[in-house]
Amino acid sequence: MTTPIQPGSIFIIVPAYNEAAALGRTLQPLLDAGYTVVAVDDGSTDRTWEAMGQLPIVRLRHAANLGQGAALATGLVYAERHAATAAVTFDADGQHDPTQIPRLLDPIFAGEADVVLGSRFLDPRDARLVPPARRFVLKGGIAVNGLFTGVWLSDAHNGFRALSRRALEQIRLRENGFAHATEILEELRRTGLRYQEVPTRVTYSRYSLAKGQPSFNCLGILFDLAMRRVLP
Amino acid sequence: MIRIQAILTLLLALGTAVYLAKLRSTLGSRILVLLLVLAGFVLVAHPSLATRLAQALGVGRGVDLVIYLALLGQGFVILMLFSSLRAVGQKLTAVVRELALVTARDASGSGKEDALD
Repeated sequence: MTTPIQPGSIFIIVPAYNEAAALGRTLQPLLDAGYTVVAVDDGSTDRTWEAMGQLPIVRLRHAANLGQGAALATGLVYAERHAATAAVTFDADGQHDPTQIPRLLDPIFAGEADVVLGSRFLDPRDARLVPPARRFVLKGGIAVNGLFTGVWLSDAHNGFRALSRRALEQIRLRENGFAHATEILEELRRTGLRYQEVPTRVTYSRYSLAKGQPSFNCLGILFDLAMRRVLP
Repeated sequence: MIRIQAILTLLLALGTAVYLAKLRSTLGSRILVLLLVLAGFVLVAHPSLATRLAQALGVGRGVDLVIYLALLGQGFVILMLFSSLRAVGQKLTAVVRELALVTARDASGSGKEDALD
């Protein structure tokens, strides 16, 4: 099924922190496909902002480094305010496959879902690409997400997602760090928005593994989630 | 009154005065703090009361009971400080986000950033 929509009305939200080296390579295929690319420089200390300026994209800059969740939320607010028909969140390190964006959008434009979440574990061929240590941590993340939110998925902390216009208007993210990935599921419960998972591939490279969150980050995420329960 | 009692009473009184004069707080917090200070004065003036309380609770020495309660109190204070830190973080996020949104550069490279420089 193809998506009968104007690609320019689809906003691809790309949070970036010190990604000057990979940005052009990651964003060019998105531009070639005609999407509106919204890159959020999360207070980078390298030349990420300047690298963004070389491309015909919308760029936003955080004056201070706040975290991936905050950068995503800024991009999503921009998309909402600028009449995006849908938004896709996309990692800057090049590990997501831009040709798979239509499969994330199809359930939205078919009216079947408001939020579509990419999963590395629905297709065994995609699952085999996940390094064993990462797979172990992700399985733990799936359990934590399920226990905290009641939303049981096949994957956790997969940054490849699509949100409908309605989801953009209703979902509000407050977690600045990586706990936003669990917060989105809480928002799904709160808002009652319909969601689906679709198989997506994550291509791990030495660069993306170095840039991605280290496995021990899961302890910090657990702390944030616990504090979120205790404090207002 | 032995010397340490005088010192503790003075410190408690000074701390309370600074709290009431300098720190903004709600009526509820002020009442809570005043009750705690009052309990402090009573325990300083009558140390045997702490020992009797401790023995009633099965702790043993009065000073142990005071330490346990102080640790609990410190934990509570840390939680409150963390909460206010989180609130400040959320305000900072809102400011940084709004600044990013109003200074956004569009695909042609134009934006309002220059106007804010």
